[in-house]
Amino acid sequence: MSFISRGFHGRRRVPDADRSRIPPGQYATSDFPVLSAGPTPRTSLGSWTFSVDGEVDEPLEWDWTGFQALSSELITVDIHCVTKWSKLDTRWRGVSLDTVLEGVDTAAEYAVASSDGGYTTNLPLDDLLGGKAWIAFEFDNAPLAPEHGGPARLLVPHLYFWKSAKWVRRLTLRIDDEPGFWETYGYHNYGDPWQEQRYAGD
Amino acid sequence: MTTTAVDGNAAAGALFEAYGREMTLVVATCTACGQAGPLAETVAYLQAPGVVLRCRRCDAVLIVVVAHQGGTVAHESSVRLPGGDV
Amino acid sequence: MVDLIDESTHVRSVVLDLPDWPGHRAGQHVDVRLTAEDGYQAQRSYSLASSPEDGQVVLTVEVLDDGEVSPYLAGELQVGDQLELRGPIGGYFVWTADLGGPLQLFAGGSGVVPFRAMLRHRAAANGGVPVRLLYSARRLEDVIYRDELGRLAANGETDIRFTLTREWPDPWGGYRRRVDREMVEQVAWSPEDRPLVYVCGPTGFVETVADAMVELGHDQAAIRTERFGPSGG
Repeated sequence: MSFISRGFHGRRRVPDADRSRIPPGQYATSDFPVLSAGPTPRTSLGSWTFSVDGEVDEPLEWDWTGFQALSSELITVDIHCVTKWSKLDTRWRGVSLDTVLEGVDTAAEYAVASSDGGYTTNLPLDDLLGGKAWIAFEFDNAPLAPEHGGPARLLVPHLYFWKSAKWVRRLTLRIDDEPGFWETYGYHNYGDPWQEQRYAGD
Repeated sequence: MTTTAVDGNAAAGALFEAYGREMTLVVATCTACGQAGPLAETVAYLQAPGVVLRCRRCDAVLIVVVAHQGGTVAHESSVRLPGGDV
Repeated sequence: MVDLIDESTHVRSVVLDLPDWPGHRAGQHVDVRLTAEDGYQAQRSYSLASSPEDGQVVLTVEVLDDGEVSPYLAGELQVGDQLELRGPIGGYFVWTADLGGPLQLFAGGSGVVPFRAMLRHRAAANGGVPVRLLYSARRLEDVIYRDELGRLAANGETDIRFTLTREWPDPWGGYRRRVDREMVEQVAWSPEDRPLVYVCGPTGFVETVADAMVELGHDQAAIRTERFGPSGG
């Protein structure tokens, strides 16, 4: 059983943060903690590609230049990590998945995002569409740093942040759902922070 | 440096919670590349939703320890541990 | 918590009175967990600086500027406060007198903490085991346990070498650079002496030393390492 550590408040907490924007069990931070389950990949922009495959008639692939030519958006969102920190008003630039998947005809209901280094995460396809998800490549007006997922990461701010796969390189559309890395190891399959869906069964 | 990797011995506490005993001297074999050595010598990533132990030679995921209210669970992935455990 | 001791400019020792302490072995660590009033928790691992024979449990904490737990332990915590600990834990980076020697210790920065426990344990076990320690710090003021190590070196029981990487007093008889293979070769026991080797420090320090020792012909299985992450604090 834990007891209160007198005088302990924690690092760079935002005590006056708007509680209505902080999901249950979360704490606002001004930090941007780096979480990582493996070595940080260093993919050069020259060899970077992003592809969409699986349940599609024709797989899609962009190189870095081609991807940058897609119309991008400035995004300001709150993010929520399952390790209990939330960060409000984070600013990104990225390409909406609506743009990426425009014209794709599919019967798929699920998607698996795959990253350099082998990380994967699964989401319902609907959660990637409708202005809810992006492939982000800038943070705070600067290229996204490798430790935060650069050159490009998935950004799905309405789900816990492990769904926002760093170093994303591929989106595979699927008829059936396939758990990703943390989902296989006991984390919740969907991960809605407002329902506090941290672990399987929550 | 942006790496958050430390040695497997730093995961001793999480492993103890999951297995109920000191685990860092247990010799683990990576089923991806065959590397064998004590869990203390693996590469540990502690700054993550769980504790991830990877093979020092090939980076394969050996064990993932996840703690939640219901207890602490070690998920064994590309690893072979000596028989008769726990 | 019963006492706080300044060890150097950024390092303090926290002395704990733990009536139910089961005892520990030199080199083991504890996990410290802090809980804020609103339930927020932070946890870090610290090496034990005290030997099993010391009677008190001592954590030596390097205060990291942007840290979370270390500034609390070394700054906010007051005599009489309680601290939540789990441990002792770890069975790998451990030395007990019955393992014998000779001992070859390499410390980078606050990586010297577990070695203080080992050196005190050795003294309590009536010495005997020959020890060599190479300790790398930025400047003399950053050297932890300076007086204690100085006494050990002066009475000839322990061969302690220092290297300072940023600033040097005048005069300075130690090394003046980051650890490298040549330094390791000069200070270390030879492979024929079959030393037990312990290396504790930042990742770069540990890898330089461990690689050098293997290249010099030491048995990899006799080399035990403990790397610090940059994300401690």
